[in-house]
Amino acid sequence: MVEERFHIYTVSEITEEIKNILESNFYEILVRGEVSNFRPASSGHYYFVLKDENSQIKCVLFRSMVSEGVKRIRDGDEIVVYGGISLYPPRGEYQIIVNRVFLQDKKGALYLEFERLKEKLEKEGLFSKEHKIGIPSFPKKIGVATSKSGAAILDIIKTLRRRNPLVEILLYPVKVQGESASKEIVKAIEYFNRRKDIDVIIIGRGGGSIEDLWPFNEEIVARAIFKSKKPIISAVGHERDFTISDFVADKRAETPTAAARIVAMPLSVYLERIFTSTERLKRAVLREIDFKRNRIEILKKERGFFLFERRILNLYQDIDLFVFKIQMGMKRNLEKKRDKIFSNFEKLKFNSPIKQIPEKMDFFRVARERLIFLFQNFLKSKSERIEFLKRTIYNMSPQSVLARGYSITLDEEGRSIRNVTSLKRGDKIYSLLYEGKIVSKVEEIKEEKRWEEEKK
Amino acid sequence: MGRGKKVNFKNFEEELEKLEKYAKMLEEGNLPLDEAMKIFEDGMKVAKECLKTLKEAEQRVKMLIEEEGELKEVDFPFEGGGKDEF
Repeated sequence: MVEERFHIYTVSEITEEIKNILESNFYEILVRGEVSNFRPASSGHYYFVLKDENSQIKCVLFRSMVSEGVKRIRDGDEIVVYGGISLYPPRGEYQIIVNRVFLQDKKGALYLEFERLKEKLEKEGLFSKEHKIGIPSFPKKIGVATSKSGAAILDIIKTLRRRNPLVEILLYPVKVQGESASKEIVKAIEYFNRRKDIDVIIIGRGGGSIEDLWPFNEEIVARAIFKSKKPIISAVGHERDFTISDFVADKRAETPTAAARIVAMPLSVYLERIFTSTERLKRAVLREIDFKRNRIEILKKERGFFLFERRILNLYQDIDLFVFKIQMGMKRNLEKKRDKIFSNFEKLKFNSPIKQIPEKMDFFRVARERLIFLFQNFLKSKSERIEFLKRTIYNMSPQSVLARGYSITLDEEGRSIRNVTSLKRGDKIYSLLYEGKIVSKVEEIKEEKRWEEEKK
Repeated sequence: MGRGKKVNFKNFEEELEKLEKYAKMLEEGNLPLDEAMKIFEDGMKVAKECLKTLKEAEQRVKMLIEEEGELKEVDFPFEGGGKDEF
């Protein structure tokens, strides 16, 4: 019987055995190959294939192992994976469970190294808050470790000059990129720690690629920062660049300029302190005088007290003047700029079409007034003429003739009688007077020529 | 940079504290008038001194250079140097 000579496995049994052999023999391996089909599944895990000219092997990278560096991997990249072989019985397939990926290009390698070191130092507690030293508010002297020819030191000096010229700067020139940079930075930190007069240390540089910023990601720098007894501000690159130094340092500044702002109180803080104190002095001493004065009534008009008070006010005035001068000095720069803007604005305003509106308005107003005036004159002359005509017409009206004592004679039909020929004795006539009328009978008719005709 | 008057910052801070102490002393009162006047005048002197310091302060920027194996402080060539390289 076949069964007796050979052990017959079930599929599960043989699979289980192969699984055991594979997994116990290859639980920790490094495999180099070219990536293909590298993309995340909906779960966030990455399934991909690693291959060379002749072979290929499936790989899986679980979501929890996915880092920023991993996301940069593209098909065709040559990588080295670290992990173990595992067999997946439902499909009868073996694959590498990947724990770490090493890119073979320099940037990728640096990125992974950054993550490795960050993870390691974080576990050691180098980033933890309880190790951070507070930054003093009024440091006297700051030690700066950066390049002597970079933008960082110039930015720091410029910022301090503006804010607080009392803070002294001591530059320890170091290389901030390349092989020896990290050692120099470490030396600078150690040197500043040996000096008694340095209150706070700034290490940093301007922006750059991950390779450029690399010295600030090196372990020896991180450890030197951690060991430092003096507070360290890390100011590397731009806002978005994070380095290991930033995590270990007592304070991270987004830029070297920001670091300078952190260490230097603006001068106005000092001014405020001096001013408040002198104010308090004045008030207290004046109150004291007042108090004494009340107690010793007789001294009320004594000149000594008056002079005391005078002296106080004079001294106080000196201080006011001083504060004013300093504030003026601080403002001068600002004002210069403001004036420039203002004068530009004035120029603009001067040439603005808006400015022409009042002029045009004037023109219109004058024109309008002139028109009204002319029209009124016109009306006035017309009404005078009308008045004259009215008077003339009135004078010529029968009414006015009657008013002057004349009368009009009408016949019985109401027609005016112009000559005597249409009348005979006994006719009734009506005489219209200015007020009222007379009815009379004709007694006698005498014909007479009109006087104008007689004259001819 | 680094020319001009030397500003002793430590003294400045100390003087400032002295000034604040004077103010407190006077506010607490109970002093004979001439003593109060003296403190007041001293305080005003200190205030003036502090203000003068602020007004005349010039940033001191020093740079370390190695000379025969030893570090020496020299003035930082702020106006002269400064090509933007890292």
